[in-house]
Amino acid sequence: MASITTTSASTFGSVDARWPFVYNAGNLAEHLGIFEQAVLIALVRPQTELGKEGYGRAILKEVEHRLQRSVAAGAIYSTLDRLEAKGLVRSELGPGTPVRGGRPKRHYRIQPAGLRALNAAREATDKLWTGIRLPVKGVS
Amino acid sequence: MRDHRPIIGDLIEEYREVVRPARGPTRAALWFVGQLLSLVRPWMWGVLLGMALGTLNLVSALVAPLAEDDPPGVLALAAVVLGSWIVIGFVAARRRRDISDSVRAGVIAAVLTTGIFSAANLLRKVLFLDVIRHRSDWQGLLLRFEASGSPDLKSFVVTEHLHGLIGGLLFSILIGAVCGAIGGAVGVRPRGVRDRRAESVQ
Repeated sequence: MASITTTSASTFGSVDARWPFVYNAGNLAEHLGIFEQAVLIALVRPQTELGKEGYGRAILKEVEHRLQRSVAAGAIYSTLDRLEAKGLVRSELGPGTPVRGGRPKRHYRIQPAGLRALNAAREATDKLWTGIRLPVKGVS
Repeated sequence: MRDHRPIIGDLIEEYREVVRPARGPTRAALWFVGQLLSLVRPWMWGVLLGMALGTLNLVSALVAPLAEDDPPGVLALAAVVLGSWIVIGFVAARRRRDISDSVRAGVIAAVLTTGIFSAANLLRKVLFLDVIRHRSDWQGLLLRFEASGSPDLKSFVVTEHLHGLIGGLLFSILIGAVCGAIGGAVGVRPRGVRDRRAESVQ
């Protein structure tokens, strides 16, 4: 089983105790999928007024805006749950509004570990694409 | 247990502020149901389908234990199950537009459906053994039992069932993957831009 090395733990922070298995925190960037990155970016740099509010629907709209396609609600909420379980985001309940039938809003905030993971994901992608011209052409 | 009120609140807010004005009540209602369905995880669908089929099997054994299987009925039931796994693959693909999600969802749902249905079927065999052993499609099993020298029919039936279950689960993995891939192939296709224009971010 993989373990947390001193270097990777200091780079990426501690592993959340609720996470059901020990994983190599040094590989966190590889574990951050495109969709998880989109959700984290939506929390860090919202481009829409609604997106700045940082609750579920606002994040969904922000991700749709960035990806330029519609996204199912289930994808957003399951991703947020997963990110929260990894300790990359935190959430708290806020007051509801009449249009929501008084139901509370769950506001999300990115955590330092989330920022580190996002930066690491970007670094990994940049390294991967270094020296490759776009568009990529196949070998005939 | 996670509090679902914020999620429902988000959906109601979107429904009232954007979707209903843009799409009208009928299509907005379909949108709402679709969003709710997207919240249900593949394993939950598998469990629900397995429980529904298992219950149907037990009830039919209770009502008419000696009734012969109706081939068109069995085919229709199989079509419903395969169709459900395809829909599960489709819904999974809609989440992230990733066909691997669909294949995984199809396999999870198929294994759980098969496992739970098989457990219910085993229960049916144990509970109604004295009656259903007289069914015509059980005579081959009874001949195998007599040839085996096994002292107890119930133990023999359970053992045969469990041996069959291993193959059944392996087969369900294959079929679930295929069904998930079929649903996923449809689900990963991009949606039209018409509604996106109407529902642009406020």
